Amino acid sequence: MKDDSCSTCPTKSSCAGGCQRSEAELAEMYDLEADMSEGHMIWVELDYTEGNPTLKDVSKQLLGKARSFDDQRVIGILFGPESARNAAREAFSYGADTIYHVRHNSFTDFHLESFTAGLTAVVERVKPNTLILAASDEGRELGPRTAARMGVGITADCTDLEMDKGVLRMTRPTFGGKLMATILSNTRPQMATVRPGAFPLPEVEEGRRGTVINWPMNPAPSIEPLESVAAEEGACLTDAELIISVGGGIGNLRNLEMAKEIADKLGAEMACSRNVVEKGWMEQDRQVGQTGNVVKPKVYLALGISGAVQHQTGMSGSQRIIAINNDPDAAIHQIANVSIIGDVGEFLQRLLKRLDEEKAAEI
Amino acid sequence: MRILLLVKQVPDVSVSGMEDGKVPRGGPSVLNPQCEYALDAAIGLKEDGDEVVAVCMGPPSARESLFRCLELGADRAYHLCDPDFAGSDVWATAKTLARLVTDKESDFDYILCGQRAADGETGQVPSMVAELIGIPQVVGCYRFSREKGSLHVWRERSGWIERFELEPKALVAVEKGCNVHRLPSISDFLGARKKDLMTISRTDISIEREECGLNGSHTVVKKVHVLTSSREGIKLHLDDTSFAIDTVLEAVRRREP
Amino acid sequence: MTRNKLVGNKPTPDLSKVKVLEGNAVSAYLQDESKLTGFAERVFIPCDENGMSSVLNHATEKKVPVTVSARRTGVVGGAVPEGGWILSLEGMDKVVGIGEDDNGFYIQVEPNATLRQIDDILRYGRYEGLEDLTPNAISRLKKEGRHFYPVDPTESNASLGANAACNSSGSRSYRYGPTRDWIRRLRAVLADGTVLDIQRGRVFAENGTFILDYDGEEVVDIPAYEFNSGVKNSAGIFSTEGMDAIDLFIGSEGILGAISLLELRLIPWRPVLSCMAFVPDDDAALMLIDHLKNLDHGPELIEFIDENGIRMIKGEREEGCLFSNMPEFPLFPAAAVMFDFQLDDSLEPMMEEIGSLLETLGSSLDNTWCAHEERERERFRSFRHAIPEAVFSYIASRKLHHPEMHKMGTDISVPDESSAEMMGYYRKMIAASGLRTVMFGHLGDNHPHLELLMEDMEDYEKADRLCHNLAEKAVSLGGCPSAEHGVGRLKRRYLEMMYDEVQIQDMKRLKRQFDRRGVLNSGVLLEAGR
Repeated sequence: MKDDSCSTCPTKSSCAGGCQRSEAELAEMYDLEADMSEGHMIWVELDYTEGNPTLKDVSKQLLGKARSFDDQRVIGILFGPESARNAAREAFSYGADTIYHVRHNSFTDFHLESFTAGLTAVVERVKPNTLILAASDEGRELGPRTAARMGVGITADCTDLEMDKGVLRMTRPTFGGKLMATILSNTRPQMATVRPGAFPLPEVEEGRRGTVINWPMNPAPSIEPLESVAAEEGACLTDAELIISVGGGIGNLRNLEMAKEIADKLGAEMACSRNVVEKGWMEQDRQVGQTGNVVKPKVYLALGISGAVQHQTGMSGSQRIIAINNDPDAAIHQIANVSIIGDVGEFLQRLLKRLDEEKAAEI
Repeated sequence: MRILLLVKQVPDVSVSGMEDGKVPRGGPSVLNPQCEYALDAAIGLKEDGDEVVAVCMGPPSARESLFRCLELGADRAYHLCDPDFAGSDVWATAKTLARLVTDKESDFDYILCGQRAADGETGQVPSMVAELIGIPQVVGCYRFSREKGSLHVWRERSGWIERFELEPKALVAVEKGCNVHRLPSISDFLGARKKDLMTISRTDISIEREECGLNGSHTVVKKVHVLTSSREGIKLHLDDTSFAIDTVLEAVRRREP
Repeated sequence: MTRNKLVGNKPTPDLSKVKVLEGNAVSAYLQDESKLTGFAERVFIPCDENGMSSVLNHATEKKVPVTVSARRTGVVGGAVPEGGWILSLEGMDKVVGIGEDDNGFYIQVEPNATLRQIDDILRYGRYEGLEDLTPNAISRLKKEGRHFYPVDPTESNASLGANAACNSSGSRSYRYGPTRDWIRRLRAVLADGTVLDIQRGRVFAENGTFILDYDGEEVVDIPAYEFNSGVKNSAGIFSTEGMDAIDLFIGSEGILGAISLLELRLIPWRPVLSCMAFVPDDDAALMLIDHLKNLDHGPELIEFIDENGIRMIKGEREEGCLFSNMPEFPLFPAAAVMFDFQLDDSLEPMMEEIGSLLETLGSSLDNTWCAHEERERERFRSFRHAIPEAVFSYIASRKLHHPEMHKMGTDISVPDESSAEMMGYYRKMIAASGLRTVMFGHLGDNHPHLELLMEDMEDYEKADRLCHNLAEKAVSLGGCPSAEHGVGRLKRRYLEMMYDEVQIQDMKRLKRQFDRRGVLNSGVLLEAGR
C-alpha cells in the first residue's frame, strides 16, 4: 500500500490497489484544475444477478454514446463493494476512460442518499461538462436529487442526445404527441436522464484500458424498506411476440372485450395506451409508452391508438406495426407497416367473425 | 398530522379532441391524474384534528384544481400564481414550491404529491423538492396507512413490493391509485367555497425574480420539431374489402416482418 | 317583392365530380341505428351543393327514388333506402366559417358536419382554416370568449343536417328549445335540383301559401293544421299561420328538400354546476322535479333516472363492465334527478332551498353529486348515456335466444298540465303488463324514455301493445309519441295517430308541390305515393 495521500479521494487516504498515481500526476493527466469543465460523466449501473457485477445494457449504451460525442474523456462513476471493481474493465471496453469507484460494502443495493452524496462529491471534484444517467427507476430519483443538490438543470427521459462544441442538445418528446423538444442547459454539468434503449449497444473494444479511481465513502443515513416481498408476476409484455394494444379510440368496453377475446384466440398479450389506463379500463402494468413498458414484439396490432410520441417511445421497436384507426391523419399511420383506416369496433367484429368461421370450418 | 399536498393542473386529455394526439390549446384543464391519487391518499389518511393543505403553482385557471382538492376534503389551499413564475422548468418549479413550504408551512409532517404530471411527464419535481427541503423521499407509492403516528407506504420496484415506515418530515410521491374518481356532493361544493384558498405572489415568499420562472430556469427549450416517420407502410380501407382482415391475420400468424 | 316569395336557382347539372358506388360497396349504406336494413342500386357521393343538385335533378328526370344519407345514426330508419339511389352527404362535412349579426355569432356548416366538430372548434378555439363570413368575425369571437351551440342531442356524432331535418332536441332543450330555434339560415336542394336559400325572418306564409319562384311562379299551400309546438314534437311538417319559410325544411325529415348548408346561432358559454340528487324513490324524484320546474331561475336541464334504472346501473357496475369509474351511490335504493344550474350568485340560496326540500323527501344535499369541471360534467353525460347502452346490451343478450327481438322504448312527450296524469298511466299500464322497465330522460320536458326489458317473444308482444297504448294516451292528452327521434320509416303509425286523414293529405299535397315525381326520401314520414 502506498501512503501518499491523494486529495482526489475525499478520505485523503491510501488507495487500496486502485489509483497508484500522485495527486499532482492525476491533476496534470486529467486537467482536474482546469476552469473549463470537460469530460462526460456517466452513472454506470451494475447488475449482480449472476454473482459477478456486470454492466447494465443501458450503461453500455450511454458510455458508447458519450464516446461518440467528441474526443473528450468519458468518465464512469459506479457504486459498489470491492468486487464492483471487476466491472470497470467492462466499462472501459464500452468507452470509459476513467472509472470512479465509489466504494462501500452495502452499495450492491441502491441507496438514494449515499449515491446522491457520492455523485455530488465526485462531480464537484471532476467538474464534468455533462452528467448522464439512465432514466431507470433509480436514475429518475438520483438524477433530480443530485441536480437539486448542485443547483443545476436537468432534462428527464431524453430519447436523443447530440454534442455540439461542448453544448449538449437533449431531445425528449413533449406533451401533445407529434412534437419533440430539443432542450439546452445553461448550467454545468449539463444533466440528462435517458430512456433505456434510446441508443444502440456500442461495439466492444476488447483490451481497451483506463484508470480506476477509488472513492471510499461512508453511507449516509437513509430510509430502508421495513419489508420487501416478491410481487406477483404481472403482465410480461417485454418478451411478447404478438401484442394487441388498445388506445382511447377503442371507444367502449364492448370493443375492449372483443379485443381481449381475439387476443385469447390468437395467443397475444394485451397492452394499452395511457389513455386507457386513465379510464380505468386496463391496469398500468399493461401500459406501453414513455411511462410504461417498452416492447419489441414481432407484430404490434394497434387498435384505436393515435400514436402520440410518448406511445411510440414504447413500441417503435416492434418489427411490424399494424394500425387500425378511423382517423387517416393519426400519427400511428405514419409509422405503421399496415394502416387500416376504419372503425375499430367494426374491424373487431369482422376479425372475430372470421376467427369463429375458421373455427367452425375446422370442426 | 399535517399533510401538504402538492398538485398540478394539466390539460385534459380525456375529452374529445385528444384522440388524434394533438394538444388541446386553451382547452379545459384538470387536476393531474396522479395528483388525484395523492389527494385520495391524503384524504384517506386524514383523521380528526388533522389538516390537509393543498399547494399548486399555475395560471389563474389552476384555482379550479385547488378547488377540487377543497371539495374532496383538503382544508386549506395555496395558489402560487404570479407572472414571475411563468415559464418555470423543473428546477425553478421545485425551488418555488420548496420556498413556499419552508416559508409558510414548515411544521408539516408529510408531503404528498403525484409522481409525474401528465403534460411534462418529467417526474423530477418531487425528488427536487424533497432535496431542497432536505427530507427523505419514497416515490412510486400506491398504498398508504397510518400506524401509531407514523406513515406506512408501499411501492413496487423491480418485482418487489417494498413497505416503508416513514417518520414525520418525508415526501411521498404517489404513482397509482383507484381510478374511481370521486364526485363531490353539493354540500362539499358549498363547503369548499367557504374554505381558505390563498393566492400567493412572488413577493409573498422569499424568492427573487431571477430565481423563479423563466429567469430562474436552468434549461431552455431550443426548438420543437415534428417527428417524421421512418416506415413506408401500406394503407387499406376497412370498408372496401375483407382484404384488410386477410392482411392482418396473415401478418399476425406469420409474426414476421 | 311579396313577403311570401321563395326564389329558387338551379345550377347547371354536372355529374362529373360526383363519385358513384355500385355493387358490394353499397352494402355499407343500407342500415341505420334502428338496424332496419334496406336495399339500393347505387350510391352517389357529391362533394358540393352543385353535385347534390345534379344528382337530384337526374333522379327526378329518371323518376328514381333517392334516399338522403348522412351518418346513419337515426333510430327510425329515415336513412334506410327502399330501393333506388342513395345520396350520401359524406363528402360535405366541412365547418365553413363564423359570422356575426345583430343576434350575435353564428357558425356555418355543411350538412354532414357533426355536433362534435363544432364543439371541438368552439371549446378549444380551433378556428384555423375557418372563414370570416362577416368582417373579422373570428377575431371578434376570440375576443368575446367561448361560445357554444346550445342544442345537445345525445348522439354527438350525428350530422347537423340530420339534426335540422329531424328538429332534434336534447337534454338542454328544456332551457334552449329544439334545433329549430337555433337555425339562422339554410340552403335546401329540391327534388328537381332547384336550390333555395332561406334566411330566418325574411319569407313568411301569407294566407296559407308561399310562392315558389323558379322557372315561373308556383303556389305552395302549407297544411291547414296548427303544428303542436306545445310539447317536444318531431312528428310531421311544421305549419302555422304566417310561418317562416325556413321552418318548412326543419323537422320535415328531408321530404321537401335536402339541406346543403346550415347556419347555427351561438351564444356565450357560461359555467354551470351539474348536479345529481339521489332520493329514496320515484315519487320523491317526481316531487323534486316538480319543485325544480317551478323555481324562478330554473335549471338548464332536468333529467330523471328511476329506481329500476339506478338498480340496473348498480348491477352493471358490480359486474364490472359499464360505469366502472363511477363512485358508489350515496343512497340506495334510490331514484336520481340530474339538473344543471348556472354558476352564479343565485346558486347558494337556491341550493339551500333544494337542500331543505331534499330533507323532507328523505335525502339531503350530502346524497348528491356535483360537477363543474368539463371532465367531470362529461362523466355525468356519459353516465346518462350509458343507460340506453346497458339496456341495449341486455336486449342483445336476449336476442341470442329470440333473434326477432328488438330494443323497444318510448319517445313520448306530453304537455305540462298532463304530466301527472301521464305518469299515473305509465304506472298503471306497466303494472298491468307485468313487464320489467327502466325509465329515464328528459322529465323537465315531460319526455321520459321508457325502455322495456323483455325476456321472450311473449314479452315482446306485450311491450309492443304497451307502447301503442301509451302513445295513444299521450296523443289524447295533447302530447306527441315521437318527441325527438322523428317518424322515419318505422313510426308512421304514430303519425296516423296524431294527424287525421285530411291533415295527412295536406302534408302529401305539400310534398307533391315540392317534389312532383315523389322521388325525394319517399316513404319517410309519409307513405310512398306517386
